[in-house]
Amino acid sequence: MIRLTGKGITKRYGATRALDGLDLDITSGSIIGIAGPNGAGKSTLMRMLAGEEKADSGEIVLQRPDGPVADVWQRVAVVHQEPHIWPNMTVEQNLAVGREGRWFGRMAVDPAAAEAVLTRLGIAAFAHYELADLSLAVQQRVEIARAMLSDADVYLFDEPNSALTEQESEALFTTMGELARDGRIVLLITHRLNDFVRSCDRVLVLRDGRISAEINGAEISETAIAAHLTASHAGEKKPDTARAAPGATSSRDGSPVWRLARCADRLDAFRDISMDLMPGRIIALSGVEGSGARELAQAIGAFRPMCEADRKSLTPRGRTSVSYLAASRRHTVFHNMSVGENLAARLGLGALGGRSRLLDPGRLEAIAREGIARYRVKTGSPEHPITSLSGGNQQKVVLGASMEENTDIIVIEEPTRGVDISSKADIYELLRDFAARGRSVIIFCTEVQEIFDVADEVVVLSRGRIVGRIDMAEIADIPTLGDRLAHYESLPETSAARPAGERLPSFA
Amino acid sequence: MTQSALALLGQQKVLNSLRTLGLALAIVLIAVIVQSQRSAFLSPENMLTLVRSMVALGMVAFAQMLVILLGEIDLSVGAVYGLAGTVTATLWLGGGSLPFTTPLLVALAAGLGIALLTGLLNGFLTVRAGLPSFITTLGMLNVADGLSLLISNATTFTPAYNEPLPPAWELSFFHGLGGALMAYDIPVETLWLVGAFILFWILRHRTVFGFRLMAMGGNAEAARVARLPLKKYKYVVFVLSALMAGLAGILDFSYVGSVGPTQSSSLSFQVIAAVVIGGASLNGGRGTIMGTLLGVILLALLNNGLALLGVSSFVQLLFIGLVTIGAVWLDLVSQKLIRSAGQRSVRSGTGAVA
Repeated sequence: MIRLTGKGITKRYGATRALDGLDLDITSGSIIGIAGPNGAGKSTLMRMLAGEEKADSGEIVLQRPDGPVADVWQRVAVVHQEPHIWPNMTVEQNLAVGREGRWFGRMAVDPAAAEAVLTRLGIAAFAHYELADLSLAVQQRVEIARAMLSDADVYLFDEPNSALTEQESEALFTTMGELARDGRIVLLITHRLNDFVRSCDRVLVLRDGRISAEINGAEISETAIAAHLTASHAGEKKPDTARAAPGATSSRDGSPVWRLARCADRLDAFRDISMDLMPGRIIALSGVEGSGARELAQAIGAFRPMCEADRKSLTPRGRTSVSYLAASRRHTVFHNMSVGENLAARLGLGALGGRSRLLDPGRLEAIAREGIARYRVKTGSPEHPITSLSGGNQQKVVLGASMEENTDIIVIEEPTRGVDISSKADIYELLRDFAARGRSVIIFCTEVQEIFDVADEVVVLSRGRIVGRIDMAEIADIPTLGDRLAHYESLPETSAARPAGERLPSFA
Repeated sequence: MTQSALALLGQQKVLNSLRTLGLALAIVLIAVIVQSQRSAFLSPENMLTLVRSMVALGMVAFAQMLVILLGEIDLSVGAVYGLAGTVTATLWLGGGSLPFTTPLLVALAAGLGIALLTGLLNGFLTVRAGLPSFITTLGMLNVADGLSLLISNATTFTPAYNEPLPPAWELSFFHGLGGALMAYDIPVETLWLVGAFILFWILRHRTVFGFRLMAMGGNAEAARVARLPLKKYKYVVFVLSALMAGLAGILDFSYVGSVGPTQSSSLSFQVIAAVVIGGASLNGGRGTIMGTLLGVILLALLNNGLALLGVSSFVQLLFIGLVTIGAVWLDLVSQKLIRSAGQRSVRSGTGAVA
């Protein structure tokens, strides 16, 4: 049995105490969840265990059967929320970095072990591809594979399934459970309360830099955890699970913002897509990695070329405008700029320029101030660097920036990836408000809970085709939705032969 | 069948081989064109000239590739190349602004020593002071050039006609370093090129050092989290780069039989051009030794072929500039095409199964 203890761990950043005398006592054998609102000290604790930070006072002890471990971080494997991987190297090479084992020769880890881990995560087919060519979901699984291949005592998963689908998450939790039963300490940090209920035997709630509550066994439920999380946030909104207001859905009989008729992807990620983007509606695209759902979202977001059925001419966008937000905040946040500058970053001279056609600092500031209020960003001032905000507030800023564009369609991948529960509610409300103004909102998301909370309509893709549509008005609860999604995703491939003229053109 | 062949296209190894093959084809094409116009091209004499002209460029380019692989750049190599030769010559032969002379071996050690020192300084300023290597080495380029002129008093040194003449064994030893001819009139210098190629190929492709350089160049932040020794490796690549530049300078001095100031200014940029033509990315994380060698061959071939064809040296310069841009552009476009073909098949074929 392995035991991880910490006594009075304190860490200050300037005036703020990220960790304030935190006591910790964890033993191996089961998955232990760590919950907490943004800013509670979860990531500080994680960085400390990983050895990336040193505590100001207090110490962390890792007790193995053969005695205490000198450098705790050496026995800790971390799965970061934003994958720390190498885009220029193959999946196989990524697994080997830092644990090449010898100085000379061909660099790779034990091929049998690597093969087993990759197969288990469903990415064995990509072993020799460069990560830059693979999707975020595959990249995140490479990060997981790296952790699983290391022989660590403590495994730390930070939002590991934020880019995975339901089925893939299930497989991941099974693997995590096996690690735990194998006598390792497995810690799970996530904002998805449901994941704690599914996988953990013990949940620690972190608040204001210390552990404020502990929930064990059968007592673990979403409401129990949420109660502890929001205890002192009583003034804030709880996630609003109500459907969109009836007024918003009534406009569905109007004309669509944009109509897709038998559209296809040039790289064949999806084909034969017909759907109407109705004003006032939030449409969720759903599907496992490789189903084409993510790619379709990107194509609607004008981030990827989309073709007519003949696969040659591009689909004309007509007079509709669109803005697109990528899944990872690495690709949406301008880290070198302030909160205000980020809010204005997508705007053109029309909004920012004065009469002299030069940048007008006054207008920039006005946009920043209005944006911070409108999008409920918690920040001291528009001039603060965006990196000083929590993940949830950063997400509100980038969401606000794309809404400021005032486009007819907004496409968002994973709108609340790594966002805490109260920010989530804000973001859903912002999306509904935006839709209510006669816009079309498309989200690609992998979380059933999120689809349930925000979508008016779900379009399910599998193998590049639409296999199902769900009107959320018919869905009463999450399990029903989960069953419907799983049902569509597991449908056998339709044997309907493609028309002869629609063959994949050979690549010249 | 074609599906699996297409899926193969996305694999990194296949991509690298295709790119190497493309470069090799371009070289053959240029060679055929030159040969069809001037039959002297393939003569043994011209081939020897060609190979000899690649020595300094190649040796410096291999080390430069490692610097670029790590996401840094070393602009100072051209000046270090000149400085090492000048320091060696001044100390050995006298006649510069230094008031004393030393035996050859000491002078050689000093030449390599000053190269080592510039490498360490480049590393120190980049790693410890945190300056961008572009600035560090741009500054070092001028410092080293200025130092060469200062030490040598802008003299040209020729050992065989020096006054006083160095001891005979020193003269023959120095000549033997690079200038002496072996069987079939092949200069010793070419052996250094072959040796450097093998050494750097192993270092890049068969050691943890090369593997980690690739990782650090690809994602420095992830490398930091994985606790790879980024700072140490930066020192090492800058030192390697400077040492190779110094060594090449001394060997060329030996081959040419004389050394003078400012013979080196354009070497830095030729070296970088060769590395980039060879497929390395200035963003770091990509680059192979074989590609670099082919880039060196392409540049040397162009210089040689254009001269044979009687193109004026002004037009040669213009031509080489255009080829550098064109080669990198062509590479970019073809990579994109091949990759998207590979991706398409992954999605529709193997990807769905997995």
